[in-house]
Amino acid sequence: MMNSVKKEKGKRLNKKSIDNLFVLSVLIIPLISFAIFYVYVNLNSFVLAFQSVDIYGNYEWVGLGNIKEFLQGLQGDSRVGLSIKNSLIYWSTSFFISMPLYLLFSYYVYKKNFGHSMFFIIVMLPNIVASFVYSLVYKMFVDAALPSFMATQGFANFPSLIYDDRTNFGNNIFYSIWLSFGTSTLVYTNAMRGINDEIIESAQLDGANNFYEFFFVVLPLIWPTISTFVITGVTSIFTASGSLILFYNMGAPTKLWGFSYYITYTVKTAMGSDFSSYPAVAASGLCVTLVTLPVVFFVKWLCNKLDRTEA
Amino acid sequence: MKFILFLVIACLVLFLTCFVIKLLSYMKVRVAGKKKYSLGAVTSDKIASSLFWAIVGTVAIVYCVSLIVPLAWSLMTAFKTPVDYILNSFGFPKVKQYGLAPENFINVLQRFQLRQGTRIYGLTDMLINSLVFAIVPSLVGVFWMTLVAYVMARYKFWGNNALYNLGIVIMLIPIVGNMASSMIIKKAMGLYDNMYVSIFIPPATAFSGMHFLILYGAMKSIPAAYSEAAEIDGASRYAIMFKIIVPMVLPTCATLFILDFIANWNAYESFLIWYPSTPNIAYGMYTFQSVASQGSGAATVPEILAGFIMCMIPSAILYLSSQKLIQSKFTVGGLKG
Repeated sequence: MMNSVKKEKGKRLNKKSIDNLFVLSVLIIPLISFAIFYVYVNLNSFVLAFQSVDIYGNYEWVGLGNIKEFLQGLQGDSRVGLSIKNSLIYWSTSFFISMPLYLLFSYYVYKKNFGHSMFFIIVMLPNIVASFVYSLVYKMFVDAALPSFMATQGFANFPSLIYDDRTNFGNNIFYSIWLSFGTSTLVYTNAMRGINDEIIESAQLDGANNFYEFFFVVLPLIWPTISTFVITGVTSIFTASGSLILFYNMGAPTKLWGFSYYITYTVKTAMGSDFSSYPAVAASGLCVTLVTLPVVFFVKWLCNKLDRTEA
Repeated sequence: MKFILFLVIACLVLFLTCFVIKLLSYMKVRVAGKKKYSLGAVTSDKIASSLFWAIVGTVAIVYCVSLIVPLAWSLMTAFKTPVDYILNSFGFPKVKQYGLAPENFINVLQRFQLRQGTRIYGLTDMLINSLVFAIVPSLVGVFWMTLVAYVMARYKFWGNNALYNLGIVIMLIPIVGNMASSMIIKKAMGLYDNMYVSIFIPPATAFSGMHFLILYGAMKSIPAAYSEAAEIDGASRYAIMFKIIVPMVLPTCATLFILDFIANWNAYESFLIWYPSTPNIAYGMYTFQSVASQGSGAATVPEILAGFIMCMIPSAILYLSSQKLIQSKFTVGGLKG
């Protein structure tokens, strides 16, 4: 009897070991990729922030020198400081203007108001057509066709919205709002459609109008979806690239730069051979990450706190 | 000024239409089993609600029109002759005076090329690069994410929860400024400007991201009975994975593959930064229009727009043919943990 119990135990152990070997065989390659292209890249970036590199590729430890330079640059009118300020402005317009509009338009589609089907299809056009093509078409339309059309309407000196100094910043913000509705509207509308109809009917029977229904029934019930977008939005404040590369390639005016553009510009213009400007990029990225990280976790905590769906 | 006046009148008409339609919907009542319109059903609350929805509806429809106008303009301009475009850059093609120029679509294909140093890339080169970059990384990414989602969802092993939570944390951590480090490492490994090797590398975070969470959820929803029955029948773990469970989530995998394909087909930044020597059509068109717009004589604006129209076609066909599949998978929950 003892031998049969031991044999059974051996079988169980064998199965567990085989399971573990199987799991390891599947995970080994993705984990190696993670170790190299995520862990090592970010560790290397962290170390690079405290080094300098000469044009011959020799590394030297400079301690907090790069970080001091970054902090001093924030006080002046440096590219880094300006790009951080612009990133915050771009994010703010996305959060305070775009997000309410996404929710409003999604609710409009959800309530099946006039033209809702057409709206739902057309708003996905930038996703269907390829955003880079859309951006280039917009650029040519605004740069060439629009000034000539406005001239026929009596506005002879209508500027190029993209290249004119007076209008390019506003144009950038307008464009980022204008083209951003597709996926968000789709996701929010799907989330609203997932609400149990009985809840809505019950609210209507209690005398809730559209205003009350939207703010006190629908929004709380789709709060997990909203909070996901809020959190990922905060995460990408400084990594979102926007349309600058499409409109200007590497020639965007400095006053329009976001932080992601600053990094791309620095890495690209070094052409992958001269790394002397890279430590400054790594240091500024490290500082920005350290500031953004607690903000993201605070926002996540706040979103979880405001979540009434599990109450 | 006439056009602006026309716009204002059109918006007013649209607003009134939306308002009336909404108000009529509030006025509908059932009397003796029949639908009738009753003025008595209209309260100040409903009038205010109708006004509000009319404003939202007008803004929404004006927004839709604004999305269509540049595309419509590019489509009709693609058929203009160069002279027609110079004299009439905004309006409809003046067919009687200048005729149409469908040859723009052929001309742009013949002239479409990218000069990088001494090398000239033609349409065929860029098309091959586009197809390879759209298909291979999408397949590789979905393949590895599916396998990782499978073992994490269906097996209990040491570190499973930690790995899952790490994936969530990675989604939340805003890593900024590591492009420089990435460039140094990829150059050292010989992966910089080496698209045909880089595309086979598994994604760095196969256990993180929205796509992984969708696959994880799909794997979790499959009852354990399927695996157990197969195990009893003597199937190996690999057989259970590849022949029983993964085929059940193929629609989800197909959706994610299509989304990745569209994104990779339209990717130009990757080629701008990482693979400048193997341009795809997106990067080629982006650079081509930039050069041509500066008056280099490489192509006219109608020809460039004809090129854009043709660039839109593959992703548009793919998206529209799989629209229902994509839209059904697009639900987003919360980031708990």
